Amino acid sequence: MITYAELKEVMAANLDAEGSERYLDVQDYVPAINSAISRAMTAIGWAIANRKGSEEALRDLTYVRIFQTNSEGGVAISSLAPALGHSIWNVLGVYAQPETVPPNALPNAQQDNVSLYRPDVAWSGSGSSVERVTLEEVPVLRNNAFLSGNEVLASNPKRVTFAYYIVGNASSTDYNSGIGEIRVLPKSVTKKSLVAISYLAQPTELDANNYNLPTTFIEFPQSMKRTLANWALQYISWKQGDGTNLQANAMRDAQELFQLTVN
Amino acid sequence: MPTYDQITDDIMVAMGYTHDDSLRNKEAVLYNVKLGVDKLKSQQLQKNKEIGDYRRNSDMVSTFIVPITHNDVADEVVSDFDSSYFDLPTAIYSLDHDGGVSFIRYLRNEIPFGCPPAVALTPFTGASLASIHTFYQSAYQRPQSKRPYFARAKAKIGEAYKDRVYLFGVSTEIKHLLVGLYAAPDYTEIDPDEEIGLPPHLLMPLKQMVIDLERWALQIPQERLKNDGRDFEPNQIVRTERQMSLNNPIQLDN
Repeated sequence: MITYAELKEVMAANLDAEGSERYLDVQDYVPAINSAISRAMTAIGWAIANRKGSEEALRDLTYVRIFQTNSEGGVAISSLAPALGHSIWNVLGVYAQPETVPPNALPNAQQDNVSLYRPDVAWSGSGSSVERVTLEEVPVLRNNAFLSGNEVLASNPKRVTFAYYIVGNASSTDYNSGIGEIRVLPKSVTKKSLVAISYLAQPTELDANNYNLPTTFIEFPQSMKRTLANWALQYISWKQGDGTNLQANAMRDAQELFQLTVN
Repeated sequence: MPTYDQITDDIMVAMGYTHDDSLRNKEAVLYNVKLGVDKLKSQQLQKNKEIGDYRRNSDMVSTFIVPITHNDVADEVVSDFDSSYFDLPTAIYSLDHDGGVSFIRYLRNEIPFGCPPAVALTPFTGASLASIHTFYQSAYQRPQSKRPYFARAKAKIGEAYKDRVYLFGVSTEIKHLLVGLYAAPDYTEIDPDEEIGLPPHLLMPLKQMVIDLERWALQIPQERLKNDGRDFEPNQIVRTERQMSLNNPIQLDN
């Protein structure tokens, strides 16, 4: 984890602003660092989508939690943010029929449209892999035994395969299943069952009230301090006008790092 | 002997299908394993039939007890013509002279110990629906309880086809038969933990066959971003299937 003070120290050195009040915390450093965090999230999201992400680098943001699906095999992860205590940034993986602690945990009785975070159940590992598919693939795979998540093999416990897709908001006035919903297929197996979801939590955003608290951390590893500082410097340098040395240098540096991340 | 799962897992790793978003999933590979197993088994069965060594096929015979239907046009529900029959409990290999049916016998479990067992008594002779009349026209070959015949045909029941075995000369008092089949399990019914049922020396040709099928699948041009199917990029090299020697074990009866 990185603290605000650490990041500011690196930036101030590049700006030659140590001890100076030319750049202010809330006015300059905090927005620039927030922008850098946002940019890092975009870059890392892209890297993860291309299977280039480093689990080690994001360990402080990585969670695995057990959820209970609704009657459509869905989990409304955005609606469950208050229960989790943080928002979900990126789903890393979904595991159907997970092994749990305690073993053989069962779904609770709930209304059809309700999906739950199950804080009383921990992930013990394994489970079945769940392939990510798109909304367009869902009807294609339904009756195709060779595509994951199909219903053809759903009744065979040894042959069933799983897939998930992000349906977002599929609610109606009579069936409100929440927002940010992901659904796990085949529905005949996954409805009202336990699934494990591995995800990255949304990093803490700095603001005027929390940036200097000892409990506030930027949840990226120390190895990313230089990268975040470079990106933050780029945003700060915009105020100096285009064409400054700092702006060009920071952008080039950041781009090289970005390339390294995704290629 | 390895199971379907073990063969499939080996090839999944060999092909680099180790992530959940791999181009081919385990079920797709399992299907190719089944194709390879079926091909090699039918080669084995045919070859051993030709050289007259039926005992080499013994470990591929599965025995079943099947119920017989004695259909009468007077029945309330007429599903077939007036006949006695049973439906095959599994798909079987298509071999010369209905060779997929190894034997059919009366099911008689009450034979005193020391007497010939049922499987050693009264063989059912293979025929076809088109030729069965010739046996009825011959006094010495006419079907009867001591000289039963069978003939296979597809029967359309509703929207589905049944793999039906018609029986001739069988008394209506007979309710069950003992049959031995060279079973070729349906893809959807394969138990991944089941042994593949091939002799060890055929594992290498099997692996080679499946990897060839997988390689071929990977050589199909990639999907275009338009999502309209698969297409070639301009000047893309068209790859052809690997050439194979006539002496390759896959080509031979092993």
